[in-house]
Amino acid sequence: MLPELSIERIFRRELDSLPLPPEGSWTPNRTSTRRSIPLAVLVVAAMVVLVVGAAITIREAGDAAATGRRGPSTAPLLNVPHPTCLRGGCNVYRSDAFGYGIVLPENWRVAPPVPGATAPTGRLDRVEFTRQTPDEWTRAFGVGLVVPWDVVVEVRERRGALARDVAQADGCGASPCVAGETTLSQSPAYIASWPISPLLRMNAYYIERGDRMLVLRYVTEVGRDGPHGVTERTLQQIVDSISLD
Amino acid sequence: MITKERWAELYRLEFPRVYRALLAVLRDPDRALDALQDAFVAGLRKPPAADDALGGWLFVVAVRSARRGLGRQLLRLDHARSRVSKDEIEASLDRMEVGRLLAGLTERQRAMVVAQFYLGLDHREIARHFGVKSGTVSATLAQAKARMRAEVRNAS
Repeated sequence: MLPELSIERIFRRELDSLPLPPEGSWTPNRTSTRRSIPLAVLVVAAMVVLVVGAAITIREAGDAAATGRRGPSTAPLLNVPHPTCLRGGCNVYRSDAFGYGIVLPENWRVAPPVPGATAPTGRLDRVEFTRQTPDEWTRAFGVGLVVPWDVVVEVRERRGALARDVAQADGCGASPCVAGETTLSQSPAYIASWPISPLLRMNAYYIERGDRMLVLRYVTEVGRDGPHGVTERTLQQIVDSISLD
Repeated sequence: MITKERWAELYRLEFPRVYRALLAVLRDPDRALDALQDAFVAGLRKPPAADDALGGWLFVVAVRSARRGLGRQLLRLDHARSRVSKDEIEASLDRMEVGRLLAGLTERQRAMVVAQFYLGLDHREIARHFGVKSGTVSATLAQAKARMRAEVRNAS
């Protein structure tokens, strides 16, 4: 029998050495499309499609008018679902690229990217999970790019730094900070919590993963719960649900 | 809702792995790139329902696209898009242990073997992505492994 683990290692070692094309060619370039069918062919094909389409439309419109029903729409979907709902329910987010999965309560979703925001040096990925509606989220946006009562998962380059150092760079230390050790998905994590304003408190978890650092953060408001029944326990449960590959 | 920017970001993250997987199956850099670009466009139009094993989704959509696209290669005018030629990739693969093992398989067997051993998909995921039963995947992979074993025996 073939030793499968060794085969996987050999596949990765050998295939990872194959050259990649220039990054500029990874996505289709419509101005230099690879299927350069002569323009005349395209024009003729388009005219044929238009004529046939018009004939069908006229016929269907006549049929629909006669029977009083509407024909099926074949328009492409404009509101496509995000690709993060999986395994039967829309409540598990999985990042294959960065090797983690996280369970979200019902009605939570991935927040949209912050318009115009540029990623700081060393940040490889950032996903923000929110219970707030798009309107609420847009209004709440601020506070160091973390909306209170959202959970943010970031992947950063570690560059040899320890979790404690990264927490200090984030603000634990400059402010009165409560810090300690915990475990997430059977991995040791550094946990830190510090005030970022008189009414807001940052809570962060740092997990060292080889040359990367996984950071989970959320901001709570002092003395009150979040929108839609979100409490600190909700956020804690989301953080605790993380699974690491 | 996934934005086009987010989809492009996910695609770029998966590109290196999936492109190399396609090279191993198709042994042709232009076909691999065409097929993967088709999968990118397909994802823009209708993204996968789940993002677990997104690489697997891209891979299978691309493999199907490559099969459909065999005939239309005649229409392509710009053959020299890739810096590396098909001959160079084939030569690289032939020098590799993996390339030699895969060379004796059918394209379908290669696709499933690469999905399992390089992309890390299990039988259930391969079956779901390829739209076949788990038993079909097991049988295909068993045949492929038998051929690869024979290849190893012949070489040694």
